[in-house]
Amino acid sequence: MIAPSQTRQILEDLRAIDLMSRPFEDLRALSKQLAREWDDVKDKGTPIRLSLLAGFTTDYLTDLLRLMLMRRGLAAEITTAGYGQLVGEVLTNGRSLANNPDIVLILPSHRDLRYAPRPGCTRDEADDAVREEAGFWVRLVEQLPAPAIMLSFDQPSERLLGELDGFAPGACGRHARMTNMALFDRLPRSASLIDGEALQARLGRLWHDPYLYTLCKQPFAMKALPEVADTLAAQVAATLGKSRKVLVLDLDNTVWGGIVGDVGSEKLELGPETPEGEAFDHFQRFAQGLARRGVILALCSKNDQDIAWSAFRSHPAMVLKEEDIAAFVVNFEEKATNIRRIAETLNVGLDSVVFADDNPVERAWVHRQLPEVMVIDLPDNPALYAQAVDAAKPFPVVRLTREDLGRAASYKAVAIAKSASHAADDMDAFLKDLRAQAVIERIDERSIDRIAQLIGKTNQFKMNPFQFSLEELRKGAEGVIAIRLIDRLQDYGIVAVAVTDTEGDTLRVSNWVMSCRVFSRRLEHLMRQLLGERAAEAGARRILLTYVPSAKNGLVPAALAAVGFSEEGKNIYVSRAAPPPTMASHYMSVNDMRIPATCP
Amino acid sequence: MSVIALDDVYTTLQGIFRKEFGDPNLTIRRDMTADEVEGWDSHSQVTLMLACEEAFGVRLKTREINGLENVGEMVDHLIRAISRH
Repeated sequence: MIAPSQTRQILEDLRAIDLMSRPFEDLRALSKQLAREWDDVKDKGTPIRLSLLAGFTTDYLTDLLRLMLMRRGLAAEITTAGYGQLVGEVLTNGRSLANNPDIVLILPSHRDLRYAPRPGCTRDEADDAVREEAGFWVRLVEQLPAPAIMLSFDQPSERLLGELDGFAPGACGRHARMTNMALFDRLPRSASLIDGEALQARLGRLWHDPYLYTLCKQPFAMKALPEVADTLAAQVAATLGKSRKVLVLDLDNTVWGGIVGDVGSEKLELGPETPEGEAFDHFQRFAQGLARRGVILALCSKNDQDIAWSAFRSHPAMVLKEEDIAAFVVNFEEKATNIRRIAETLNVGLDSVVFADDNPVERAWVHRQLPEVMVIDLPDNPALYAQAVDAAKPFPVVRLTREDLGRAASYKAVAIAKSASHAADDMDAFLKDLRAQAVIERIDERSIDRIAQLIGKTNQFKMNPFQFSLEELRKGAEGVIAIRLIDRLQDYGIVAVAVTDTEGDTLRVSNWVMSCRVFSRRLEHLMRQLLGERAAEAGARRILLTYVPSAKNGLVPAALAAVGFSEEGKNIYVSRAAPPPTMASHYMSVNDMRIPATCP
Repeated sequence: MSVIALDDVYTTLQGIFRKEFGDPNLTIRRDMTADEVEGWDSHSQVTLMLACEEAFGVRLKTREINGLENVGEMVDHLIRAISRH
């Protein structure tokens, strides 16, 4: 018996967003740990029984397979037949099939082909051999006591006929390939195929490891195991009807390049003119392709809803159309709540949802709040987004149905949600966990360009249109507060700036901007605290600023109210020096790099 | 021929054992045999050797992997393989 916390730890480890990119040794260690503590962990998944019959050793595969299944919420008891007993086990209805399995996995390799012809045979002879071969395996599958998943045949490591090997009658590569096509046509409806040639292509040089085969009869490298296991796990999930259904996408820097609220829809990176634009175009086409084969698309973004919709409707290079999208939740609330709302609207469980967002903080937050949601580990480069979603195999298919192809339309109950309450306690835990550090930057030649640029470029969290020349910033450096944010996930650079000066008992904030990349981090609370300190130092009793509404900065008044400002006269907002006692903690450690004004 | 300290081989090998058998306190000795370590079977033997090959940047011969009696023999084979490189 192990401690419940240890059980939780294993589950947390195996659900890690970036699990598949970890070193093989770590995955093997985790899979062995899972095997050791199986009795305490197994009731955390849906129980299933699998029987695994392979033409090679499955001793290493079994642990990894159990891990990948658990990652998909399935707690599998796996029985295996020994090496070389694939066919015999079926024909004798052997021990490994006797435990009433839910699914039988049949994993042959090209070594198990029984009717491979010789080079030089005629086309008719080659076709006969394929018929014989496919017939043999179909009969074998038909005898199984449960639905089957069969791995189709791979291409041999050595190609006796060179480039002809995959094509010419009598060649082994052709025999494997043609048999695979015949299997697809002839297998009973209770069986599905995993494309062995596609798996082999994904794994490249890891697929054939003759050295390991001589050692222990496993034909592929150990490092191939995670991908092999995940491929099997995905198909098992699909067979049990546990494929996911909904892809939730962020907008800015996920489906297009740039922040629409800042640059406006005309300036978004999208379309074939630039490399970045091309990358987003590719990702949108991929998402649209998924939608047209039955995956439901939803959008979830921290943005102004009208601005986001108008980008969708007006940008000439936009690939995704309104009719591709079933739900659209665009507001400034945290995303876990919004995703929950999307799932409710579409009437699917959270375990049907997949979430892709370029921002690692949003990913971590959603993963933590909604562990049932599959969060895609999107790489930094948008050109790789589609591959990353595909590699995670969130939407495995056993067979395509008419409903799949029509589903996107039937789910199109577009619902736009507007209000919900934050789960404040969880937000606090999340912010703490990020271990954010705020660096108050010195105003020098290195930082001043970025400060001017941030004030110029920001559109959403921005008080008014006033900008400052470099010269003005240098002269008023003492009153400029610039914050760089660093957390355990990344360094965001300088993301918040306030420009202040003092007049009598008033600290005047000429402008205050914050990058939308750090919304919902309570960085504005820290800035408010620093403004209070600045006011106290300067002997000011109150803080005053001018908010000029624009098409994009509509979120400011609520943010100001939350940190103690109230409107006194048109566009004039005032607060006492000290922040309100009700202001929630930002949980940041503060590192002040400014040289105190009193230093010589 | 590269030079390697025996201590370094032991330290690295111990790390590999600890990871393979999931025991952070496992201490290896020259005369330690498979019987003494829970989980050290023919499967672990292969993954241990592959991990060694990767860690030390060597290729072992198949016959060196089969029929190992104890940790000491593993170390001897590794040092021989390292000096081959």
